[in-house]
Amino acid sequence: MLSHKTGKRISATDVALEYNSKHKDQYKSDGTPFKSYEQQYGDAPINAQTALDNGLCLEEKLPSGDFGNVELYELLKKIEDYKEKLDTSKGENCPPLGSNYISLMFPSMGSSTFFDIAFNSQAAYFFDELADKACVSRFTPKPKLTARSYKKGRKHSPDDLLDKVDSQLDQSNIVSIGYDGRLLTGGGNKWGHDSTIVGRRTNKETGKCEYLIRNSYGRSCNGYNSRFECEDGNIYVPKDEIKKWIWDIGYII
Amino acid sequence: MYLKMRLKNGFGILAILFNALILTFVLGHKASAGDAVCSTGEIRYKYFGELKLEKAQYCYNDSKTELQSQSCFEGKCQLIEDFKVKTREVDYYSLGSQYGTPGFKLCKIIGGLPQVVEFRVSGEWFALDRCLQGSDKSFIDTGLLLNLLKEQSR
Repeated sequence: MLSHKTGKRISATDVALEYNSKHKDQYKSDGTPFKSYEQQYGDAPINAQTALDNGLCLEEKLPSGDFGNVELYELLKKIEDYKEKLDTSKGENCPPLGSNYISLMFPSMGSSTFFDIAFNSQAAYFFDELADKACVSRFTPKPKLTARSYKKGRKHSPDDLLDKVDSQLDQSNIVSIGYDGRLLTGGGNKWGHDSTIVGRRTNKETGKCEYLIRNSYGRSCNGYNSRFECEDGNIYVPKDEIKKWIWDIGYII
Repeated sequence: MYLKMRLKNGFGILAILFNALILTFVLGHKASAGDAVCSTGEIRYKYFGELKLEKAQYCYNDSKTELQSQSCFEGKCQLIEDFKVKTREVDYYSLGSQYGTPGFKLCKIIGGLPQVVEFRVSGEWFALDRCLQGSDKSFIDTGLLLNLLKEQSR
């Protein structure tokens, strides 16, 4: 949504980290990050507003792509090994480890800065501090952008929420939707998930209004509820189905 | 006790046969439907900051949204063997959660390596996630893998 609204590629990793820094419950109870670090996302509009409040970081400063199966935990172990070698090297220079990693993940940061942060920051703040250093020149969009969110409840029925979705789509704005993930899989237990609604159409065969949901699982259509039409990982879901599972919506104005 | 064990073992063998039947059906179905193409091509991905390019024999569907190594397509690969053994207790619906993607989670359960890759068809690159089994370099895209589990869970 932020990239769509600003017309610039905003770092998704930075948005997630900004969210995490405000929601430390995403870390384990002992304050350390998850072992196999997965980017943790929360409620989409809150995410967006947190990022807007702190300033946005471009994707080129903090890329969010796949880093070739990098297990951050493995990298952290390497850093620990490196630190031990430094401590015991009695002045000898050890070759920096993982420097190609670092230039890829943090293009604007030298390896010495990376290691400085790695050695001196607390585990829970390690990634936040890396992101802050990588995104020194954050920017605030002008005119000012604000994230709006609406939850299903006494104030807003599912119909109200979908009216707002339609209104935003009419203005060429995309909308985040929070929902019970059973919408996607067609079974199992309740679980929360966020996606983006990027379009709508009338299905010529059924005559029903359908929303085009863009999810974050890649181009495959396998694994989704087979009742829905899917193209390149984007799913057309009938409005009345969404009405059953919707929890909240959000958008940026 | 002996009878119970025999029944249990018998059930286990039946379950394995049933799973194998489903796998053969799901993976081979595309071939029989005539919409899968197998060829020798190129796969690229980033590894430790470097762009890696490798040649592989793989099969894909018309829309290039399904991909698997030819060995898996033919039902003779380590990834499928691992899948059979390690997903017996895995409920398809348990993979959905607020964090991560179901396909990557399933791949890790099997002991594979989830990767975002691109494969080449007629000079054009197509992005997909795959689950790679390092021992014989067999792979199946994570979406197709989820479908296998879904079929198995039924």
